[in-house]
Amino acid sequence: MMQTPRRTDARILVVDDERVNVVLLERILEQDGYTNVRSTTDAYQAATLYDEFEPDLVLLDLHMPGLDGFAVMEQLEGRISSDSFLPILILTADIRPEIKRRALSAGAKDFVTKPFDRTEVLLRIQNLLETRFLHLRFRSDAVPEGRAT
Amino acid sequence: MWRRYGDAAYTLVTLAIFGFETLALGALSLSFLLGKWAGVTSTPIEGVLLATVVSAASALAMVGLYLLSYQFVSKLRDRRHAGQLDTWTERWIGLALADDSAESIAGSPRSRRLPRAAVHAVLSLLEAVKGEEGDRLKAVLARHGVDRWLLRHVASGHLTARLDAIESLGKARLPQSLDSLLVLLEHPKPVVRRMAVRAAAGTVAIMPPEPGPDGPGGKFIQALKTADLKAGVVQESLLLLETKAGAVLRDLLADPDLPDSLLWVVLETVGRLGLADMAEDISRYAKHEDPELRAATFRALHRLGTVPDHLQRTLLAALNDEVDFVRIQAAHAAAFLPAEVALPALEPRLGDDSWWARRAAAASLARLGDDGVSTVKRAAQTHPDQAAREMAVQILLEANLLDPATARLAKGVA
Amino acid sequence: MWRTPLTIYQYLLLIYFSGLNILYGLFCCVGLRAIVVIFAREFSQGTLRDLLERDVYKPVSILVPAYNEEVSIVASVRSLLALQFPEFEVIVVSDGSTDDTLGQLYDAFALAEQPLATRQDLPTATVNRTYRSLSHPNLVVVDKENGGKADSLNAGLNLARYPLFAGVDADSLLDGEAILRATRLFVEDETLIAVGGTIRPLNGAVVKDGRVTEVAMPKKWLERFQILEYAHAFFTGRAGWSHFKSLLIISGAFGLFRRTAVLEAGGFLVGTVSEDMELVVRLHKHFVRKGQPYNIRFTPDPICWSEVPSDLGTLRRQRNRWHRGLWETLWTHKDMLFNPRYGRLGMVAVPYFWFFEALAPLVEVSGYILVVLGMLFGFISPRFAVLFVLLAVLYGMLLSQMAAGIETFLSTRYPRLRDRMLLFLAAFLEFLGYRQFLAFERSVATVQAPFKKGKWGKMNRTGISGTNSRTPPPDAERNLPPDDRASDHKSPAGV
Repeated sequence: MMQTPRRTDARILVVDDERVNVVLLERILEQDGYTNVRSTTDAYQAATLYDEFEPDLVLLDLHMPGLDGFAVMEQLEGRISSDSFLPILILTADIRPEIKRRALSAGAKDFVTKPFDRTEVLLRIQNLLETRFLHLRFRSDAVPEGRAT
Repeated sequence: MWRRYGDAAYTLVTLAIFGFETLALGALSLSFLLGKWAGVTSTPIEGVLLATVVSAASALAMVGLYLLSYQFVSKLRDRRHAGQLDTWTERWIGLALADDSAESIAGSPRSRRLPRAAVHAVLSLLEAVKGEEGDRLKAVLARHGVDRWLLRHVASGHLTARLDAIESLGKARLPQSLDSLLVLLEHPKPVVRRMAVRAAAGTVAIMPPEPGPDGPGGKFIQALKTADLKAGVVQESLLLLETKAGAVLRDLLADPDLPDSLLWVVLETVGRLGLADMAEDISRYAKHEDPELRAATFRALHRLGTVPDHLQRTLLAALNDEVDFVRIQAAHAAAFLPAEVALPALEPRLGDDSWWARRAAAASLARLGDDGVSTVKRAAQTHPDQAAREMAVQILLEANLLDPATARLAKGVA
Repeated sequence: MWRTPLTIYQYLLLIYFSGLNILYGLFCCVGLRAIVVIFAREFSQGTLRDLLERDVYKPVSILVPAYNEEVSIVASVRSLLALQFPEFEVIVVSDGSTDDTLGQLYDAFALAEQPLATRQDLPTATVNRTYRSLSHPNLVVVDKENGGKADSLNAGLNLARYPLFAGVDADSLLDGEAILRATRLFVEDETLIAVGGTIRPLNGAVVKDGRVTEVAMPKKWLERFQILEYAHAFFTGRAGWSHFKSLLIISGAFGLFRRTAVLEAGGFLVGTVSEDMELVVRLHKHFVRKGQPYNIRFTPDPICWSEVPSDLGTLRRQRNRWHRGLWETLWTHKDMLFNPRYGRLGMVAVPYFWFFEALAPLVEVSGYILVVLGMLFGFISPRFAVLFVLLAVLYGMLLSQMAAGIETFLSTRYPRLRDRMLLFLAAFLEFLGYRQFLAFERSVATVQAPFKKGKWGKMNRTGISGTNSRTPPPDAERNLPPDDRASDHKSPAGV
């Protein structure tokens, strides 16, 4: 049985077209102990970064010029295998209930509206990561080799 | 989209040139006329012409110089602004996330005015984060007198400064700005009124709810009732109320002397926001004498996906209303009546005069379960009116309940 | 003898010249104020939150008239379908295409023939078949008999089911965000019946995935001059007229209209060469006569990117056609001229278009001829002649530069300094031949106008070539012919 990795070692990818939001999230995560955070303001880079970085969690904005959050999720869906659990947390200013429904059915695991509350966001991130690591642990128990990504 | 500095100067430059140009050309024309009429030789005219040419050339040089320098200046300024924005953003984030609320900005005295980039950074952050961190950022604005400065510009000063201030207040959403913003709803310029109502709605959205006419919602409503704003603008602002929208809409509906135009907006907004628990409150307008309001009620009920039981008779009657758009909206809403009630009422609507009513009826029927679908299928083949048959076929196609071959056949037969 | 009439003509010329320049100057100022000062603040990026823009919109029907566009139609439709816009439909109307336009669409979009229940609000040439796309439910294709662009637009209107519509050229690139902002204008103002957007030349821009990602100056001076011209036309001309509520032109390549209003006014007029301007003038007329409050305005938002001619021949034919179209429209609605019933429109805007737009090239050309003749026959001193021409050129440069100046305030202006300097230079060079060439062509058009009603002439479209190409769809040919596509929209023969 493998060790559960420390929550704060988790790899987190932030995608938002507003530089201010990106920096804000980076600092918030930093302050909470996360050391492995990458980010981009260019939605076109998201998929490439995903391949390189192999994050445990993605923080994604919905309304971005060019490629929007839904399109990014579509791209990522092709890369995630069916038995892995990649949490995508949507952060958006759009409060319409149908957008929330659409995002959750498009593959997002959780949804936070902007302006957000720091404590709440951190808690949700924590929950998602715990689920993710649990999932990985069960998968690795089933498969004798080391941690599979 | 547009840079906002230097435009005032440029406007002045163009205005000056324009004025100058008018004078020069006027002088030229006049001298020409006088010259030819009075028989004076052409030399003075040429002199004036020369002068005009010289003035044109200098005007051109002036504009050219201004634009050239603007290019360089703006490039530098943009770069500097971007750099400053980054620095201030980091600083403010540091302050917002700090565990203690003591002042952590080194060497910035209380009263010093913040540079534009700093204010810009705070406002952007306020759009992203709320709660304790948001409050700390708002405190920063207060500490440096930014809020007072903004309020001062909102209350007086010329148009561009005022508009900039309203925009900033819209982002900052400071409770103390509500009154000043609401006053602007009476301003003669429509653009000021529009921007003010949006900013005010955003501010009401974050203020703690306080019932009664002196609470933020109450004040907002009072101002709305007397303001000269187009319906669409009011609707936008109501949507901006976020969580406070329900309460404000309820208060508006309860108001006895609510003008019809506002009532229409309220009905639309209830529908758009999906406030299903207000279906009862709006249902009495289904019988209003104004057909627009009747239609708006049915449209809202359609969006809410529910029709209160006691409204069934009214809805069924509305399906035969003399005004076409009322029939259309009633037909849409009928999809949420119990099937046994709706089916017999909707079927005749397939032959309605109005194309849109036919479509609405067919679409609603298709949503009413198997019985509804078979009604549509039957109509596709046997309805006496060709238009009804075609509409039925189309609705079935769109819902993937019919394949194209059968459709072609149906059209051929019909 | 003949001196006096000539002198009078000289004088009139001078007055005309002065009046024209003063008006242009006035527009510059007004345009600047209306746009940069007011619009910039009300519609700045950050003012509106996502919710507002996304929810407060109206769905749009995009009508695409197409005639023999087999080479580019699939790419165009694909980029339209990819628009970032919450709710819209695309209606492609093939105007009796004789090439593989329909075939290309059929393959690319899994079209299935479906007899669509249509309204017959407007009379059109016979519609043979209608198709729906199985892969893109919001795409409809219409196969109809040849009837011209206006006829195709009317056919599209008969099928359109949304409250707003836009008629676009098959090779224009639309900006979804900008359209969203434009539809907001309709929501805010229920009396608004048409909005004209801004067109920026696509030449030189880098396009990726159907979006413009970078603007750069094109290589040819001809294209550069046109960039300046468009900036001038939109940011001063249209902005100014819109401010005075007398906007008479909304470009066919992009305009957003309220469907019911256009249907009420009778749809597009078949058989005219500039159906876009004609429609707008008729809309004004209809609603003024009806006595109903209405609004038609312009938005400086860059909504549409369109390819402009890069060779002299195509440019000539295009300008010839535009000018003939202008005359056709003005003549069709000549009852509005100096008619106080139409208020500012009848007394100011329409006369302006008659005397300062339609007649201007003739006056300009006659002015040059007069100067030359005057020098030859000695009743104008050479010094006077030279000075006068110099004055005309200088004023032209001045106005051009003032308009170009507005361009520098755009945050999406040309990022490279070199490009901006080129634009600056172009404002000077424009008047050393280009403008005169256009004036000549438009004068020719004026003479031809009564005889060539409704004819388009052959257009060379090079497509968006080389490094600026859109990502070609996977099933398109890689080796597209670099030039000539027979892509004219023909009007019914013999009209």
